[in-house]
Amino acid sequence: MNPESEQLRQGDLSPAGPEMDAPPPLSAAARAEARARFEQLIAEHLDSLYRSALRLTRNRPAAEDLVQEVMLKAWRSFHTFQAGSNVRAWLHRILMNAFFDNYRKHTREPDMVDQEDVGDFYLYEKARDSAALSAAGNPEVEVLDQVMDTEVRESLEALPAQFRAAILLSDIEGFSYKEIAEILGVPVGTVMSRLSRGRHLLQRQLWEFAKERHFVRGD
Amino acid sequence: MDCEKALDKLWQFLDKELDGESSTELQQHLEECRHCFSLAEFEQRLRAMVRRSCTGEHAPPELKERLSKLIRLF
Repeated sequence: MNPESEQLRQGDLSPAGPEMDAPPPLSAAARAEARARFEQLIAEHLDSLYRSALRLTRNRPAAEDLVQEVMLKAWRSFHTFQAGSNVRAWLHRILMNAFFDNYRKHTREPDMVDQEDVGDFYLYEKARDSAALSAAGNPEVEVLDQVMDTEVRESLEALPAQFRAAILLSDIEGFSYKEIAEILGVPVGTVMSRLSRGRHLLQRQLWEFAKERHFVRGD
Repeated sequence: MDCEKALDKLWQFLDKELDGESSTELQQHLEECRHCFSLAEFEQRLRAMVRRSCTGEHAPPELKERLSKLIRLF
């Protein structure tokens, strides 16, 4: 990683032009003060950034590197950051840009379009239809009880990156559609369709786990 | 509001992205329709489960230390 040679892609969150790479010269005292504010801000959001990075990269060393990259990029445009802005959204935008920049360089994941859609509430319907689960009395409760946390994380990580990103921003980090649209640089309609498709795929994956590990009859 | 429309709007509702009027109508439908209510409850529980399974992790201490060291160089 060589952050000094990389271009920032901050969109409307930082001014365009060559000056954006270097913070304006500051007095030592002003710099120390900015550094202290920045350090506090990073500390506050570190867990959230790390979790998102972990879900995106799917491994710890890569997640740590990504968070470090985000921090370096955030510091370089920190002077453009307005107090009172949505810090967590700003940091997540830097995170998503950094991740997808690296990601596109190393993978070619086809855009997921025109896939069959067999209903939004896949898992619920599967659980209701399952004779084995129905025998337990309350199939919808039963199916969720059978899936472990690690399996949920695995299922999420099995999703194509674009869907994974939308779901983690919405369902885990709790950002609004509008915030997610800004973070990912796509229209709100795209956010909604990625969420819908992603949740559907997630439910299919969870059903596979319920089936495999717990011998639920899956038909 | 009928079931089809309610289910069409359900995720927006659960995401708290539905405007006031539609949200009230959907809420009303959920109170009256056992099937949609049970489905909404399921989706909510599922979401809570996804959230819980992914929010237990914290940044490792080594990372915190590494970042603090870097910040001191800024």
